[in-house]
Amino acid sequence: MRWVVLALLLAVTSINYLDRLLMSVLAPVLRDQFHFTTRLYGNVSAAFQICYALGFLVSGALIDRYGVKRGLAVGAAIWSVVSAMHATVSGAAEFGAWRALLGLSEAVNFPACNKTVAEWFPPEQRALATGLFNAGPNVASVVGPPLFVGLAAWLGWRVCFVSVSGLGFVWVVVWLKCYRTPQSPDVIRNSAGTIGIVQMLRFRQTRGYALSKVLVDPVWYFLLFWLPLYLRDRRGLEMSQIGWALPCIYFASGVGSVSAGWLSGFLLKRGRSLQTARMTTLLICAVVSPVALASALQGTLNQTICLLSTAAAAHQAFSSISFTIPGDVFPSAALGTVLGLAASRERSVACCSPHWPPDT
Amino acid sequence: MLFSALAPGYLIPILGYAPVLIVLSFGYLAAVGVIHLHFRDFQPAAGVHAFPA
Repeated sequence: MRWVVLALLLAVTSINYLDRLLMSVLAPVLRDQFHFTTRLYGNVSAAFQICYALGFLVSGALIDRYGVKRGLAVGAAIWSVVSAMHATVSGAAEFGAWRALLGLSEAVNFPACNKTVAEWFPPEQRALATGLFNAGPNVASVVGPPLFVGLAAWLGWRVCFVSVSGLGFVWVVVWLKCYRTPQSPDVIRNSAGTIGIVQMLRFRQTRGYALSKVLVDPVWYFLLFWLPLYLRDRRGLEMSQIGWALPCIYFASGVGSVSAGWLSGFLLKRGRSLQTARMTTLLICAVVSPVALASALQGTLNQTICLLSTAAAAHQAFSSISFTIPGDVFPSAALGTVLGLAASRERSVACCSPHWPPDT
Repeated sequence: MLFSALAPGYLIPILGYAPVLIVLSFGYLAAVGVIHLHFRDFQPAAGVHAFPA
């Protein structure tokens, strides 16, 4: 049953990212149709980020209170409706409004998925499970660009938003039909109550986890939101070329995510401590990423794609382990709140850089 | 925060993408240090008690 649950988490995380990735893939098309400047595009992206940050503040606590089955189903249904509404827009302001609502509703996904993994998987499998569902963004990023570029050229960009919305609704039906709450002692013990946000902030682990997310995620925002525009504007790629370049980078990041989970579990099975298993994996990623990025934007296009792929793999590897760590030290009743708080802080910082890259 | 978020929008026009991305990428090493300091031996957090629903 736990692997079925994991497959559902991978699916919902992929759909979650398809929704948000859609706009960046279609950015060149939307920019031409609505006359977006890069700065205006940055503001629309910032609307998503600001509301995503706000959404995390409440979504984690709500997931702790109402459980992952109801919480994730309601969240996915709302963001699917909002995604479909993108198809109706006729200007940048409307886009900004729907992006804001999308950010607010999509914030439920990661706290819920992490909490589900912590409830279903033992420590030695937890990092691998997190790595697998955390590959959802990469599945979306591999499948999304060529699919959306083709679909937009064939039926128009509005159909892309409606299609992803439909996937969301299908997932909600399957989730409600298949998912059941695990009956482990920790889950039963903790299902009787919730833990306050203020109380959780008193723990050094909560503060440290939030700070670490703030430090590492700006690189990912570059890869997620700005890479298509960078490749087109600075490297002169056509939309069709972007359609294959992005999947290469994101596929590598998926491999990194799963590999880190496997390595951490492997070290635990070899008798290493939890601390050694997690920290060793994090340290490898932390060394690889600066080396890859140091030369990523220089050299030929192929070299750039290879090095950005390596950096993306290192980031997702780091990310999958760091997502796992709260589940190692906090009870499940507190997990949603901790993850929501950390993500909220991290996204608050991300939305401070809406004009990146510079207006050109 | 200055170097991870606020600065890029202003530094990229002056320095270009590569130097700013390199600076940001050192956040990973800093984050490893932060996690090491705050989680120490990865023992369960003491004193986390749930309120009644």
